[in-house]
Amino acid sequence: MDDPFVADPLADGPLTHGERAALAAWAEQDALTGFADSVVAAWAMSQATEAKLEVEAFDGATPFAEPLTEPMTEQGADASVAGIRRLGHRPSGIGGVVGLVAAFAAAAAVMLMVRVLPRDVGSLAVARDCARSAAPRALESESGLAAMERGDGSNSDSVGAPYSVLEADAMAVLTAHCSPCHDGAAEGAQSGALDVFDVRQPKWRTMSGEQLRQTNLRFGELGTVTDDERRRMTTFVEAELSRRAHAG
Amino acid sequence: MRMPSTQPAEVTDLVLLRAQQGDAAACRALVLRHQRRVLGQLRAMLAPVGRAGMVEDLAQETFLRAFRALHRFRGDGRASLGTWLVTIATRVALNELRRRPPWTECLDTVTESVGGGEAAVVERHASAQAIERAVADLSAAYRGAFLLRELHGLDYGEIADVLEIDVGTVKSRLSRARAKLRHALAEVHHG
Repeated sequence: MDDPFVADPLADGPLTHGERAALAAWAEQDALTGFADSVVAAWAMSQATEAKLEVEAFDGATPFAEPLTEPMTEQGADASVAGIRRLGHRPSGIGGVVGLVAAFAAAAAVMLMVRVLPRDVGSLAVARDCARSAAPRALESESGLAAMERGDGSNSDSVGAPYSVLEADAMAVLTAHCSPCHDGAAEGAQSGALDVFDVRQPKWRTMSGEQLRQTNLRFGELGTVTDDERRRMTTFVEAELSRRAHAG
Repeated sequence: MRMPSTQPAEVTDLVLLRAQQGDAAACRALVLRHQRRVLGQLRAMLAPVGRAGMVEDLAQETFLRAFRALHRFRGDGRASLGTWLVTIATRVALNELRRRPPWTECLDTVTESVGGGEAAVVERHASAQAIERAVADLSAAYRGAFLLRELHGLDYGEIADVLEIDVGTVKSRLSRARAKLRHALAEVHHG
C-alpha cells in the first residue's frame, strides 16, 4: 500500500491526499462564539464614523480625513486598527446587548444618510485592495508641479493649457496607483473596478462637484500615495471646480 | 470560548445581494458562513510565528475590509466569496507581519505534551507539530502562497494576483514549501 508520506520525501510535486488532509487538520479552526456579532457591530460603528467624516469633508473642514483602515504612518496604523478592533469586542451581558442595539441604531441612521447621498459617491470608494504595489510608485512628471509653481490657477481665460497639464498630471497619478484594475486597456483590468472609473476614459465632466471631492478624498486615503501626488490631485480637482464655477 | 461549528444554511445570492446593500443580518450570515475559513487561514499564517493572539482581531479586520468592498464583488464564477475572503485575510496577515516582523518563531499552538495514549493520537500530534514547524520555517510570503494553494485551492494565477508576484515565483515558492512539509512529515512517520 502506498505510503502517502514516504512516496518521495524530498519531492516538490503536488501534495498527496494524505499530506493535504494532515495540513487541513492542522489548520482547522472552530467558529468563535459571538464573533459574527462583534464583526457586525464593528461594521456599524465604522459606517457611522465614515458618515461623520464625509459630512465634515463636505464642509471643507478636513479635505484629507484620517483614513480608517490604512493610515500612512505606523502609529496611525496601530491606532486606527486598534480603534476599529475595540469597536467590536464580543458582547457579553446586558451591557453588551445594549451596545449592540445602539450600534445597530447608529447603522440604521447611517444607512438613511447614505441613501441621501449620490450613489456614485459611495461607490467611488477607491479600491485599496486593487492598489497593486505596497511601495509608492514615484512619478517622473514635473508638468503638474511646474504649473503649480507658475501659479497657474483656475482662470477661465487660461484654463486651456494649464488645465490640460493639471488634468494629465492627475490622470498620471491615478494611473500609477489604480492600474491595472481601473485601467480599461490593461490586462489585469477588473470589470467591477472599471464600473467605478476607468483611467482611460475619465468622467470628470459628468461627475458632480461632490463626486469630485469624494474622489479626491478617497485617493488621498490610499496608503501608497505621497504628499506630492495628493497635492497634484487636489490641484486638478480645484481647477475643475473653479472652471465650472466660471463657466457658470 | 470555542464551540463546535454549526454552519447555517448555504448563503444564497439573495443574502449576498442584501449584504451588498448593507443589511446587517445578511452581513452576519456571511460571517457565520465563512468565519471558520478566514480564521483558519489567519491562524495558519500567524500561529506558527507566535501571533495566534492576533487571529481574531485580524479576522474582524478582514471582514470589515470585505464589507467595505463588497459592492464591487462579482460572483460571476471567477472566485467564490469564500475564496475572496481568504485572499483578503492573507493580505491582512502579510501586512501585519510586514508591519511587525516576528522576532522569534515559536510554536505556541502545538506545544502541550501528549501523554502516553493511543498511538494514532500521538502520531497525529507529532504530525501537527511537524507541520507547524515546517510552516513556521517558511517566510510569510512563502507561507501565504503555500496555504492559498494547498488549503484553499487557488490556482497559480489567482495566487500571483493576491501576492502581487508573477506565476513563476508562485510555482517556485510552492515547490520549496511542499518539499519542506513533505520532509517534515516523513521524519515524523519514520522517526
